[in-house]
Amino acid sequence: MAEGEKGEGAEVVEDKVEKKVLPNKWDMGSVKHTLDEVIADVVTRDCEYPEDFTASNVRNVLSLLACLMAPASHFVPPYMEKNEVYFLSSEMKTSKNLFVLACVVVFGVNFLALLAFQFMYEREAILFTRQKEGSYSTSGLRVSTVMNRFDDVYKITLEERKAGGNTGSKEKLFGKDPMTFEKSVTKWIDEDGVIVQDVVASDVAKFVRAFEKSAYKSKKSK
Amino acid sequence: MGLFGEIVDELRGMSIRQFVSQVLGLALIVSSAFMIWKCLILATGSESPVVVVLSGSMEPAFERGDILFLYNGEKEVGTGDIVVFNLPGRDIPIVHRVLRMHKKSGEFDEGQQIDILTKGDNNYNDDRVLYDPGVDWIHEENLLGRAVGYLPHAGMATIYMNDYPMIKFLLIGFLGLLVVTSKD
Repeated sequence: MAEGEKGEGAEVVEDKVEKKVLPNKWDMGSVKHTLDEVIADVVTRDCEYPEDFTASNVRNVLSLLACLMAPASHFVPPYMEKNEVYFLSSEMKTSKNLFVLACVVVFGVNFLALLAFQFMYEREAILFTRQKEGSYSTSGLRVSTVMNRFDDVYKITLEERKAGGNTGSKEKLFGKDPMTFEKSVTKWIDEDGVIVQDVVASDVAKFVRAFEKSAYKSKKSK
Repeated sequence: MGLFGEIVDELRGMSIRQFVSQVLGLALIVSSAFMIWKCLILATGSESPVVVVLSGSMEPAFERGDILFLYNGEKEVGTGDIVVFNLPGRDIPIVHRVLRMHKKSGEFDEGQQIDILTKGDNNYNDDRVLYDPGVDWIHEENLLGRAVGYLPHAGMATIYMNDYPMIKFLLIGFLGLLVVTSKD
């Protein structure tokens, strides 16, 4: 099949720039997830906002600490028994049990912290960025997306944020209101179920530029 | 092979950070299950709070493939209780009934020493044939706990996985791959 071969060849060359993005068009979760990835890509690559990995790092560290408790609770008690290491008690059996209990508690704390972080801080955000270099009107972005079940409307919200950590002191907030952008996903996905990346990229880039230009929040009198 | 190809493409397309996140997510799920298991061990006081009946020696009370829930609390074992015990050097637990017990008051500091003889309901002889040669009684340290509840036939999956170990590896490997490459 000449056409098939040609298509494959073209894909290999284009692969670095334009991966064919094909979510399962009947699964809303998968569609939203793939669109989230595409949009995050557009904001970081095309609009040149550097991604802020703090949130991702926090999640990974909490997960890692929690996961380490499992092998700890399994392998440390025999070690304790062999080398007569005591933990909070002078009796070996109680000592081992207390250690396992401590592991469970640490696991629970980390797990709950992870849930709390995702539920209270991250919520619907798909991307955090730092301030673009040379930008004089916009700080880093917090990009959140919402797509209700059984609805075809995809809503993007852009908000200003001050990036955490050392860069915090240099960046200031510009008092912009959050802006939202809604579009039906039917305009972004063609009949084969492939996401038309050009249209998405141009829509999102336009929206980001509009946000950058948006006026400052009017100062309310105190 | 199409599914496998999809999975490989998916893995190649991910950045290291995404891959680490997915792996940690999977590890967290596995660790949660493990920690719940540890909690159960702490709560029941038994090293192995859930066991599967592997032989027919307790029929008609328990059949091969039943799941037993154990509790190893303060209450003393009594004659007629169904207990699960480990013989030293063998790691397959045995589910039998306590046939006879002797309680010996120990010396001032030691407390009681309890000798236990067990027998499977469906067996002709008592368990002295199973104990090590010269050992006529087992003691409380050998016990994993008393049976306090059971689920009939719920353990057949474990028996199959024991008889055909490949199933375990295939199942876990496949599930792991699916989770790492899922879009969630």
